[in-house]
Amino acid sequence: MAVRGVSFTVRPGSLFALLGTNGAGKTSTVEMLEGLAAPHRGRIRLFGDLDPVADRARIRPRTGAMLQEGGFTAHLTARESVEMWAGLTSRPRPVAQALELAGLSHRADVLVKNLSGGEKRRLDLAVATLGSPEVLFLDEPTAGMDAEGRHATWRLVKELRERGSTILLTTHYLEEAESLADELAIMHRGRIAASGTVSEIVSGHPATLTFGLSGQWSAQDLPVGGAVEERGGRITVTTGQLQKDAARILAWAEDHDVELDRFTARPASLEEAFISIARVTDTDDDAYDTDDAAETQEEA
Amino acid sequence: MNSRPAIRHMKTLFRIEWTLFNRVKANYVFVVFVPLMILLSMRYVQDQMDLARHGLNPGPLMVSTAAGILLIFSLYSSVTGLYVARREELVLKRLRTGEASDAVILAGGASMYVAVAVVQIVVVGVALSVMFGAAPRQLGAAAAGLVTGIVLMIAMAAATAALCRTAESVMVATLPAIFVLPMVSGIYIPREVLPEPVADALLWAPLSPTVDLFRSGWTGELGLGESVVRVVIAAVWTALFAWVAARRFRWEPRT
Repeated sequence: MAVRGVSFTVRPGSLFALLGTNGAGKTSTVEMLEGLAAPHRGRIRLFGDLDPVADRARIRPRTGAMLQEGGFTAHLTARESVEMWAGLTSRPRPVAQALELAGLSHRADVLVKNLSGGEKRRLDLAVATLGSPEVLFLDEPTAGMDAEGRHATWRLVKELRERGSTILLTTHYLEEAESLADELAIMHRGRIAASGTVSEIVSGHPATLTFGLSGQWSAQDLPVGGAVEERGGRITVTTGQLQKDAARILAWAEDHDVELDRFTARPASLEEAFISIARVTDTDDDAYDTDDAAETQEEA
Repeated sequence: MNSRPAIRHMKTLFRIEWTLFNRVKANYVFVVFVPLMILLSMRYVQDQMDLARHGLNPGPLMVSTAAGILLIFSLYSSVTGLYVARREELVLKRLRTGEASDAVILAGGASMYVAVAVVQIVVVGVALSVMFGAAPRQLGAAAAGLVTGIVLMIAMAAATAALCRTAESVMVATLPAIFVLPMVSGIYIPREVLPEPVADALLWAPLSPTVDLFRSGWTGELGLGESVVRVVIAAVWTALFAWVAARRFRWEPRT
């Protein structure tokens, strides 16, 4: 996947999520940051002024990485795999502790080939965090995990950030990005379509009010303009002024003694923003024919 | 460059390959039993040649033949397979996210097979010396043969792995070296048995200098200048294969 015009900066100690559909270019981007691939154009800097490819020897003792998949020998046990990485890492944490943190102590002597998909991801995470890295790259860390494994991984990632690690994480789970990231960028077809905090990204997208309306009242009677839709006795109001319109509707209901069934006021979700961004970018595709330089900076 | 971490990384990768080598018992057959069988059959083939007519002593010839075969089968083909297998498992790519350098990743993985090949060559060399009553006369030349052979085989393995698309293609990719190299490098057929112009030309084949150096370890036939020429030829081939590997080696499977 080629990526174009990718530019972002990750603040030290923060968690930055690259969000996107499969094939959006997340892995290509993170592999350039890791120094596994060099950009054709543009520049990438880690720790202020280090180039991931040219300064690899200086960068590696300070970073940890989890690839999107694999990278472990099937015929080694989980413990042997961590021991191997301990031998390749400056100042590794004790092997038993790494296995414990990843919740793999009871599976330490199982061959990698016999671990479940989720357990392999946890082994990967144990290795990526073995040297308590300043910067951690996690490429889809929870892909293929069950809900419990996913939440355990999130806890571990949050702990690492609290201890000061800067984390760049790719995911196609919106919930994961929303729950973990300080800032995020939405990638679509090799470009960054939007970036910022979750509230910055969703702020440009309309919120919704939904409720049921009974009796003689209909959508036309409501004191709000704009997009009001009625379907199956439920009203959906799409608004850019959630608080004002909600207050107006509640006051109107109070005045007219109307009960609004299951009234819900909901700001735009990341999912709605994401879908809308993807749709807009698709129609704009022809406008982006130039091969922009990748410019990415990760500071720590 | 600080060499201490590099040594620690090498030791770690050696230890891991040693563990894996012992875990898959079939390795014993491929790396130990098969080369020895080939060696025994070569003993029979060389018995059929009239070596004395060419002024050749079978003892040193057997040593250089054994060393050449072991370098190709125990080292070259095993290391080529190792590089491709580790690439397919994404192990090489994963290792590159760590602190070990590219050179250490490749050398570390191969080091276990180097150790196996060295032990085999020494044991077989000693056994053949006793069997044929041929004492080593130029240990320096034998050591030069061993070193040039090892680095050449590793560079060739890396270059071959660079050209292999999948684990299945290793078999085909290593065939030229497995079949042609012993024929042209004085391993199966001593060059003296061939017409002189052919024999002279084949001195320039990749493994010929190594085989000559091994043989001279037992015959003492090469002077210093001739030995240096052979070391230089081996070094040029090694550099050529290393250059191909550096340009073409892939650290992850093709997608």
